[in-house]
Amino acid sequence: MTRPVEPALGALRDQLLRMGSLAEAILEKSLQSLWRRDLALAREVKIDDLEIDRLDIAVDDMVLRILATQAPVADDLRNVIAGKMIASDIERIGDLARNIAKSAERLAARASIETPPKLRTLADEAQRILRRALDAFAESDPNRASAVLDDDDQVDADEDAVIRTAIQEIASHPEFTAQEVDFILVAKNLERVADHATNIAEDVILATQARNVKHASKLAV
Amino acid sequence: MRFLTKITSRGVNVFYAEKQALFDVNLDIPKNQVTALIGPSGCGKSTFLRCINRMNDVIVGCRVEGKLTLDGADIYADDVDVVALRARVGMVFQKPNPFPKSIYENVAYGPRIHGLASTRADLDEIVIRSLERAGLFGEVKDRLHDAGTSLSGGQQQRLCIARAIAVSPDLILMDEPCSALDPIATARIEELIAELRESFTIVIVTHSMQQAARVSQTTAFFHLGHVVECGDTAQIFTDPHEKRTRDYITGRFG
Amino acid sequence: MSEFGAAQHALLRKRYASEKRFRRVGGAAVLTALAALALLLGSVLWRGVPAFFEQRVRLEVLLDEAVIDPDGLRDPISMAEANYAGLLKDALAAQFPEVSGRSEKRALVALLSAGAAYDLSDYVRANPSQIGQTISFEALLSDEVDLLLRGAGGREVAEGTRRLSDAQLGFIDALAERGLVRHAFAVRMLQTGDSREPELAGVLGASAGSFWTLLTTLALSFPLGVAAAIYLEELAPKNRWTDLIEVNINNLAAVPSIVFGLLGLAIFLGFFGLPRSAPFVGGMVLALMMLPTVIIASRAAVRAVPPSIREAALAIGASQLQTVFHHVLPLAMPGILTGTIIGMARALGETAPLLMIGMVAFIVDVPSGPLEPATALPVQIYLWAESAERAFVARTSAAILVLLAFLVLMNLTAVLLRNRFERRW
Repeated sequence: MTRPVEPALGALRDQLLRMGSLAEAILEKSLQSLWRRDLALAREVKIDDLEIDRLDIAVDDMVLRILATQAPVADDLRNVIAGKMIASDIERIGDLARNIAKSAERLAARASIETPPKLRTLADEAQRILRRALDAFAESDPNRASAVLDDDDQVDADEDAVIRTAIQEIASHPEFTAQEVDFILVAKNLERVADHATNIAEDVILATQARNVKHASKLAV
Repeated sequence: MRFLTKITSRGVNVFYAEKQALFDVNLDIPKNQVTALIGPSGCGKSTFLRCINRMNDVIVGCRVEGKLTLDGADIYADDVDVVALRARVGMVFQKPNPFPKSIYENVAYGPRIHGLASTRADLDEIVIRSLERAGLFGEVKDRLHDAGTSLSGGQQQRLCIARAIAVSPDLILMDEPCSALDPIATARIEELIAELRESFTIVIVTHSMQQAARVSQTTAFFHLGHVVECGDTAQIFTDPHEKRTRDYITGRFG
Repeated sequence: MSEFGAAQHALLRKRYASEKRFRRVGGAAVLTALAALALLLGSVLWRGVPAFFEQRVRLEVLLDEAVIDPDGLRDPISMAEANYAGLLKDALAAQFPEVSGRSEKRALVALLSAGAAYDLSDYVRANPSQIGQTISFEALLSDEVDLLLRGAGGREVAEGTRRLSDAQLGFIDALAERGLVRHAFAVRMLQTGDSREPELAGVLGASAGSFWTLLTTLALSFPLGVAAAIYLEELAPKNRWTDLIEVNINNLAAVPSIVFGLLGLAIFLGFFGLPRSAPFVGGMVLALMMLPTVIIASRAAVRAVPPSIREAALAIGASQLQTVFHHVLPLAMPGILTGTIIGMARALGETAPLLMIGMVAFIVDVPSGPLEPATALPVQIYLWAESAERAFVARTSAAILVLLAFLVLMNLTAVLLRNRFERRW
């Protein structure tokens, strides 16, 4: 027997999976536009982000509707609440991808300098974390989600490294300040992407195991 | 969170002739809280409720084993006066059942037979206070001598609650008190339950999980005569420990 | 919903037709019952009402002091024994001065009832100041004269076969012509007991007897019956014994009443040696007969009280007896009273058991208590119906009317009581 809440939960889930895939796609696109200094690609990203925003609004509506009409409890309730939080995180990732695309536009307009290798590493890490978080959500697997949480530290370290290098470059080559600044911005955005991806993993743990592991590092101090 | 216990149940088994209705029930009902008993039809929650005020005594062939205590004293001891017990443990039924007497007489009957008022003035005071606490006085103060049965369903149920609290019980048992009422009357009763919690311990059997979630602090889930899980209401409804509990409250069965 | 085809229409028409037939049959049955009732009541009224009226002749009677109170002491006891018949004879003779012969005079006097003298005696006792005066007194005529004047006496029959001679007929007609014969309401019908003379016989004795009997019956059967019902329904354990008792009570309700009469005879009179013809004993026998009816009706009424009321009372801490007496009994009262009415109505009309215990004797005095010998209305009706005298025919029907009036009164009381209880519910 299908419970009345199940079709709604299923639709919510599908929506979130769609959002997640879209976010991954536009993150990849924005990074490609950055590596290749491709203006056209960068502009596409902005349009794609609008789609994510639309999906986010649809999710808001779905969540309200389920809460009002189904009064879900236990795991159903946690899934719905977590779903809303995941949608918010994915929407922010979309915005961050758009920021990266803006940086790409600016870099394309200026003299081309070599992209710091550490930045590429950072980008790969961020993308990997996002993919693994979304996989954990797709599988409703708290173990995979937990694994994601450990990677966040590495990302922070790499971000610091990129920023330090960029600052040094600004000091030694002030004529490339603008580009270095954009590199810094991209690094920060990628760090934020990883952060939001981690949030998604935490939401998965809350939904499946009813454990709230948010802000663990800050609260532990 | 520590709380005082009003009722303890240890190894309680209840039989209706050859059929067993409750199996090894171990439960603590906390004092001055609302405890909800939930579960599908026929799971034994009403049976358990009726053990507490020994209403099961009137059912032929009903046998209760195990230990059930009220404030530490065994309810089923040989020397227990059932009449006195029922004065300490009030009950409100699913279908409102006021006596076919006046509103005043309905509330006054209990205090009268238990000798709680020595003068007419005392009795008046008890009646008025009980009706006020039940949130009914304002609506009936001009017609206290009208028949109790002339009130609406929700008012009748509040009259039954006033009747129960007029004898100053410690404990009020409610067997699906709102199932025959409309949503507004139900909301009023739930509001009343929240107010009464200050002075009474309340045990409520309910079919509505939303109601259990709204009014109670502790919830016990019964299934096929067993207590599957008992704990903090918010805990049960956000993260129940037992799979059966989770399946029931999310509607996967029942 | 599918279209109503021809088949459905035909079916519907048949159904309406059978409904109409049923209603007609029902109406006819009711009408037949009403007609039978009207016929019955009508014939009883037709025959019984004349018994409430008596024929009297107005005479000028000299209250001769020499006859009534020769000593002048005005002593009521000795005055009561005076020869009032003689005074009346003189008064009547004065109407027919031409009558001289002794047998003729006897025939004249025979027109008066023996009761006329008693009436005169009562009058003098009530009005001693009028001794010595001539008063205008209405003397009661005999039952044969009464029948004759009503047109039921048999003028058409030959002299030998009727009670009144031609000469007597002549006297009566003469008195009637003079306008001295009056037709008035007979209060004595309701004020006196039985008598050999039809014109003097009243229903008070039998009514009082019935009253005391039924009072005893009610006093015994109501509390016992209700208590037994409450015990069986509320307090007794449900086992084979109580089932057996229930079956037996149901059977007892169908036992013919004469069996109870035999029981009364054997046990109350034979074993306990209680007085025969006493309403108390009759009441006990009828109570035994009525008990099963009361118990069955009371049990049904108690059972019909919804269990929710009992539960509410128990839950508030009422004991079982308090629950029964404060809550169950008031609600069951309408049903209990109905059962009691049915039982009492049956008891009122029962003759056989009363005959068995001896309430058949000819009792003249009106019983003033349940232990004095008495008869009952149905028995009285039976006795009068058996009597040879023609005049008792009217009295039999009159007694039936009194019995019916009794019944209506009892029912009315019970219905009023029942309404009072029902209003609270």
